[in-house]
Order: sequence, then C-alpha cells, then structure tokens
Amino acid sequence: MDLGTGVTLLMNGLALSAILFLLASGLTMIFGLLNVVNFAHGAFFLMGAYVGVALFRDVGLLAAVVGATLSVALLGFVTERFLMQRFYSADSVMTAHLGQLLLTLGVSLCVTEVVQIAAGPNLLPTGDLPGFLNDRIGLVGGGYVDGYRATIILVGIVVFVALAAILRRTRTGLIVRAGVEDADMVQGLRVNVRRSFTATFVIGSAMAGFAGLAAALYYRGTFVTLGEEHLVLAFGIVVLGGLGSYLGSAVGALLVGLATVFISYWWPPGQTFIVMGLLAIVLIVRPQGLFGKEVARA
Amino acid sequence: MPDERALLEVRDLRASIGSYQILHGVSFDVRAGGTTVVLGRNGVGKTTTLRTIMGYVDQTEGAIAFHGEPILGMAPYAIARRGLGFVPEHRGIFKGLTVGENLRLASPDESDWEIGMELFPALRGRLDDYAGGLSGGQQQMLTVARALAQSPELLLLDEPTQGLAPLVIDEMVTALQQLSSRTTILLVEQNLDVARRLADDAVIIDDGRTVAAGKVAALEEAADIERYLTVSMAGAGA
Repeated sequence: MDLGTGVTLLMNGLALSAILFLLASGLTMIFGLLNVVNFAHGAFFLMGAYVGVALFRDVGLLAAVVGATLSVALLGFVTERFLMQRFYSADSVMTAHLGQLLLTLGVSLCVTEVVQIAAGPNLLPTGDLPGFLNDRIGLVGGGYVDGYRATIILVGIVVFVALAAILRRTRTGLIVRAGVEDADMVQGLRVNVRRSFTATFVIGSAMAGFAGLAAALYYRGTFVTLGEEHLVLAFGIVVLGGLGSYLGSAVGALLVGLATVFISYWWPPGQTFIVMGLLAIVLIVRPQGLFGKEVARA
Repeated sequence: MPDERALLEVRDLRASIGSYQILHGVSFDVRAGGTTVVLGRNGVGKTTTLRTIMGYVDQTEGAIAFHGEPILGMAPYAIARRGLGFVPEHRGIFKGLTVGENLRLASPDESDWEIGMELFPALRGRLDDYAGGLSGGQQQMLTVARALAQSPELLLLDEPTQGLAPLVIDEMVTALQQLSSRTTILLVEQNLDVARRLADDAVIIDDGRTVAAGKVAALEEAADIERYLTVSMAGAGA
C-alpha cells in the first residue's frame, strides 16, 4: 500500500469512526443511565437515514439534518415516555431487562417494517451532494479526503467535545454521570431522574437519527439493513469502550472504524469476522472494556 | 424540652420485593427533634423499612405520613423534596465523581456544604479527589455530608457505622451526636452500644413486624432487647 492510499483510507476510516461514534455514544449513554440495552437504536439510525435522504433529495441538506434528527428524537421520546417507563418498576432486574429487550426489539421490527413499506426494499440513493461536499482535498503522498468525509470528521470531533463539556461542566451532565453509577441514589438527592432518563433517551435517539443520515451520505444511499449492520458494530464499540463511557465509545469507534476500512481494503470478505474477532480478544483480556469500571450492578 | 409531636408516622407497613413479602406490619412514630433507632437482626426488614419510607419499594400497603401528609407511593425524589435525607447501607457515594461533585449534586450552593465540612473536617481538603479514592470511613462521612447539604428535616441513616474501624465509628458517632441537636434522625443500627449513645427512642423489628417501641432505656429494662440483635456490645469504642 502506498502512502497516498494509506492516507485516503485513514481519512475514510476516521469518517466512518465519527459516524459510529455518533451512533454508539447515544447507545452507551442510554445503557449507562437507564440500564437499557436498546435494540431499537439501529432502527432509529435507519429511520434517520430514510427521513434524511428523502428530505435531502426533495428539500436540501439543512432540512435533512433537522428532519432526521428531530423525527428520531420524537420517536425516542414516544418510545421512552409511553413504552419504556412501564418497565422501570418491574419486579426484578431480570424482568426489567427481559421486558426492555422484548420492547426495544419490537420497536425495532415495527420501525424497520414501516420504513420498508414506505420506501421499498431497494437502495434509496442520496443523489449528488452539494459542491463543497464533493470537492477533493489533497493530502500528503497523493492521498485525499472529500469534503463530506472531512465535514463528518469535524462534526464527530465537535460532538465529542460538546458531549464532554456537557457531561463535565453542567448540572445535567453531573446528574447523568451520577445516574450511570446509581440512579436510585440520585433520586434520593431530590433529582427527578425519570426526567433525566427521558432527556438522555431523546438525545441518544436524536444522535442515532443524525448518524443515520450521516451514514447514508457516506455510502451515498440507504438500504433497509443499514440499521442492523451498524447496530452490531455499535454494540461492539459500546462493549469494547466500556458500558456507559462516552470516552470509551470514542476510542472504540476509532478502533472499529479504522479496522473496518483497512480490513475492507485488504480482505473485504473478512471485515466483520476480523473486527468482531478483535473485539472478542479485547473482551477476553479486559471484560469490562477499555474504559469500563468493574462495578457490580444491583 | 423536645417537641413531642410525631414528625413521621409509620402504620401497619407491609412491603414486598418481587414475590417476597419482607414487611408484615411495621408501625412506629419518629418524634421531631429526637433520634430514633430501628433495631433488629440481619434480614428482619430494617433496611426495607427505610427504603420503603424513601419510596424505593413499589409493592406496599399501610400508611406513612410526614408532617401528617401521606407520602407512601410517592417517587423517591418527591419524598426527598419534602425534607427527608437518606444515607443508604453501603454508602451510596458516586465513586467516579469527585468529593466536590458529590456535594454539588446535592446542592450547587457551596455554603450548604458547610455543616458537613464542620462535622467532618477531613473532607475539606479532598474536594477535588475522586470519591472512590477515599477510605471507607471518609466515604461514609461524604455520604452523610452530602445528605446534610440539603438540610433535611429528617435524616434516614442505614447502618452508618457498618464496616468501619472502631476509631472511625467513634468519630462518626460523635458527629451524629452533634448533628442530632439540629436534625431529626431515624437510624438503623445493629450495634447496641452505638444505638445507646445516639438514640432516645427505639423500634425493634423482628420478622418484618414491630415487636416493641419506646424509650431505649425502658425497652432495655422491659424487654430482652439483645434477643433481637445479632451484634450486642463490641466495637463501639465507647
């Protein structure tokens, strides 16, 4: 591999990492605070992709970003407020987890079916991106990155910094970080943690919707298995980074995104196998993930 | 003269967790301005009683009133907002947050932390340290200081001396004695010596039921109080 190809692949890998980070950080926040394994997250990502692409084709990029993010945020709100909250008070952790698993799986199937009925089973292409997103930016050794990939890398960095600032510098962030450790105790300090649950679920869902559009623009189209394919990677990233850790999600997304792109270049059929194999090895060595804490959950 | 009216009234409290009924009829009063201790062996329902008062147990029957207002069935945050503070068993600090952040979660106003800092000066120099790095005793002090930052009218303490070294127990008991002049305390404790030093009133629970309630001294004279306890005398450093 020459330097130019390596640099181009690196930039592609960083762009994919940024998309995976947007998806996985929402998933890890929801798991960390609500203790919910959200199987609907991939369907939210898919819905964001379809709503975004439809608006992008008919209206424009800004409408696509706003529409994909807000529509999925609304779907997340309805799911959490009217469905998920019924399972927080289950008799036992096992009952709660089973209920949440079945519920989110059901939501995932419903959303995916609705998308498929509305948009059909075939690839929905994005069409041409606006000029500046298509422009090639030359890099060392003859490598390059297109405007879209450069933009999404930047967006990933901005979201990471913003998320870190919110979690570290605001009271909401303090509540979320404390809630990840012990949501019951947070309630004992006069905090309506259910409201934080809803806010976290909505923000996580909105990020999935935005990530769906970002992925569709990355691939220049969307298809019905987009959600489930990326959900598998996102779950891997969340577990690899450590459950509930946004920093872990960022590092995990970088590793998985880069590994996916480089392995696809060398040996495309082995992409999923090798990425998942690497995840398995890391987890054998460090079961709590890279940034996870060895905390027994009640 | 202490105020003799009941601040908290618990009546025929029954509570289940999953398919297990833990409380079968717990009744007692906590009068304002005093310290009441809940005594009993391991597993008789003391912690469940406190957790039910705080709203953490969903399957309940009976009645709990605070200032005469019913609170049973309310969410924990709403009960806490009424003026109840909670120090759970096994501390309940947020280990990934600094000492200052633990306190800030209770109150963003640093002047509210002062009462905790006065009682536990060891915390003062450790505000920027992660709570997980504190010793067991300091973690317990932080939990109490954090609850106090909200100026609770009634402080529920679940075995605050559990697992602490004798010297630290002494420090904690001294701090709680000072605190009892400002805040009403409901304490779960297995260590009878600690209970004697802190409490005016006692409730004895056995098998999820109240078996006796009254002044500590009177209960010690009238009942075989140690029959209901696992730990009797050792370890208080008194």
